Amino acid sequence: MKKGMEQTAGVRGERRKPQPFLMVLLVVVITLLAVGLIAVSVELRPPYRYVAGAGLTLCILTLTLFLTFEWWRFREQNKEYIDEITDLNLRFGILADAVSAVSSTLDIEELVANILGVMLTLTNSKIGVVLVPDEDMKYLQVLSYRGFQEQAVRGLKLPVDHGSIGRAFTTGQVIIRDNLPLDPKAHETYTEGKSPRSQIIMPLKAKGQTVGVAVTATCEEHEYKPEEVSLLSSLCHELAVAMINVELYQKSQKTLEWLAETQEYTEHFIQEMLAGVMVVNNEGDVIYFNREAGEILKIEPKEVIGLNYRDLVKEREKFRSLSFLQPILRLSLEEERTFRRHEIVIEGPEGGRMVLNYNAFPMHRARGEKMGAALVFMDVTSVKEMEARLRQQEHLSILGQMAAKIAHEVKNPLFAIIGLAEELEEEEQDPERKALLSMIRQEATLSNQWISGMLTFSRSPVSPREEGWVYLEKELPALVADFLRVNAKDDVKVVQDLEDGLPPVMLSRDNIRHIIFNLMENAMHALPDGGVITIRAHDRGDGFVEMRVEDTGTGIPPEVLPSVFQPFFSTKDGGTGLGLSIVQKIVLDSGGDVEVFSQHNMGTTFILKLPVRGVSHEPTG
Amino acid sequence: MNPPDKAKLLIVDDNEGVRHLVSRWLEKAGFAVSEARDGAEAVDMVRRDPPDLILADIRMPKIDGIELARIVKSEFPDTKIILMTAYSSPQTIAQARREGVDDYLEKPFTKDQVESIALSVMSRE
Repeated sequence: MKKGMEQTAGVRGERRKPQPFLMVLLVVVITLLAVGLIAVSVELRPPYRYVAGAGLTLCILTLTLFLTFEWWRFREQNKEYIDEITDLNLRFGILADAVSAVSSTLDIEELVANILGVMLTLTNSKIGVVLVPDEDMKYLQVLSYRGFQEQAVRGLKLPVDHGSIGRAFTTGQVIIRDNLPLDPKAHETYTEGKSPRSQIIMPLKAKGQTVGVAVTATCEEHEYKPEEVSLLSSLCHELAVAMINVELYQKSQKTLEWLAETQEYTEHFIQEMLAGVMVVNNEGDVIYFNREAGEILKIEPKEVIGLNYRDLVKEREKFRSLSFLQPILRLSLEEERTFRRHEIVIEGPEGGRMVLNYNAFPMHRARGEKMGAALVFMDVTSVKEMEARLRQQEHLSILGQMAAKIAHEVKNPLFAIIGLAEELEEEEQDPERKALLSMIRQEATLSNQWISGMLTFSRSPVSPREEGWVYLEKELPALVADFLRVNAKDDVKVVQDLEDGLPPVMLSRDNIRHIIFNLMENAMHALPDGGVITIRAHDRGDGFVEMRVEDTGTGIPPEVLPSVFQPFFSTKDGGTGLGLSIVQKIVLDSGGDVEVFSQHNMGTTFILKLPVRGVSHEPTG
Repeated sequence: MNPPDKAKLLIVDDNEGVRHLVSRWLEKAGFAVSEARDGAEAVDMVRRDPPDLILADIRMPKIDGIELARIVKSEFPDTKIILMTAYSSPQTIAQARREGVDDYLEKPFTKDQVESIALSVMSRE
């Protein structure tokens, strides 16, 4: 062969044919000899019998010699076959090892290294490499190698459209190269420092795709026999199948991991989201009930999961709130109805009214088949309440603006009327006219009180910082004394029980005056037959001082109690109905709260939560 | 206590009844009282003959009480000023204080209240 010549592998060598003529000859000779011996012993007499006997013996000797020679020749011929069969046996053993290596590991590098080892053994080579294409299928990269220096193959990239290796990859044909040129840098490239002389390049093909190239090389001239090539091809096919399988396995493994991770994320997300989530399967069994759902409906998720949504109330009375959601789930599950941003008012787990916003929808698999229904809900009770309160505030604010405008226009003339009537009253000598002027003054004064009350009520909230602060310990006794100077009754006892060292509260002096005067006036009013008014204050320790104004009076009728803070609501003759509204407004504006408790003929208690100065408070109103 | 030798006092209010009533009270208390119907008229009068004390309503057309106080205090720092109000928010009061207003009175007030505040403001340095 010419130097550096390469060829595409085909079938080569002669076939050994069987030689039946030898067997036929042997049978004929033996038959003739047998016939001869019978004839000699039956027909001939001495001396012919001896002559014929000697001739036959000579023939037998000759035959024996011939057979011995043939036997020897046969042996010599068979030896080559036996060796070949033994060799093939060995090779098939190696192939079996290779197949078991293929199925024993899912680590692609380990697998390729094993098979490469087998290939080297088969071809009696010491140099070998397996290359695989990169993602763009533009270059072949080394996946495994033997007999190379590491630096020679590290980062090696062979273009797929160039060279014998590239061609073997793109065409899918086995390429054998002989008489390779001597590599002057062999000592840098190969571990044994010797340049390869022969090389076989085999594509790794399976299932219609080429997944790489295997190359083995020998440093001596090597003739690749057809059996060898065919065996190597099978091996390469096995390797390619294994590589595809490993890749598929790794992909599916990654997909599984990704799925598991996604499920974990989803689980976590659903658990932590600020909405209740309830999912039922096609049978209606609850398969999901997140923490927030439990929080909203005061149910432990594990108590509900596994139950059928239709049986919830039957199961336990505590699932009552949840049962209000049954009809929605039924419509989504059985009639495949979808609800978006709907609202429902239910009886909450603690008995009160609860407003829920919800989405409900049937759930389908990607292929379209139904897999259940889900309900996502949020408790918006407090939001709804706040909205209602805001609407009320807006309403009051408009009312307030109007009132302020009217009041302003009326207060000035009233002031003039009161003052001028008083002037005239002072100067008037006629008692009848004096009385009339006094009536003018009193009526105008009453109107003025009304309007002042409305004005205070309509005043927009001001930040407590602007309003200042007071020490109740100091202010309360002075205010109570002020009040009693005009309003004291002999049969009403006023007791003050104030904790020492109370922190200052975020109310102006005017406001605390309004509060105390109003509450004490109401208490006095509730004590027509005398009794006790107690004013208490103590530090709650949570940024609020609690102040109580208690009386032992007639109490507020239960039907009236919810309305006491409503503006313009009054049970007193001549009352403006603004006193307690203003008290509530002042307290709410300051960030505090006020409550009232009353029992018929047992008395009434107002409890005020007043914010302490220097502690951050959000207005509760 | 009497105002120092007929102290000059200007009452500014768009309500005639209020003007009349307060002038009457303070004349009796010994002030030499003049009247203005609004802030603009008051500014003219003050520039012609600055009074010792001004009693002005906060809500007035054209120039309101706070604007009047700002003008007076910048041009005549010795003139004292008390604002009257039928309705005001704490923010308004705070703004009035920043403009150098000496005191304020909430309507309705009595003769004694206005007299004592006027005298107390006048006695301040």
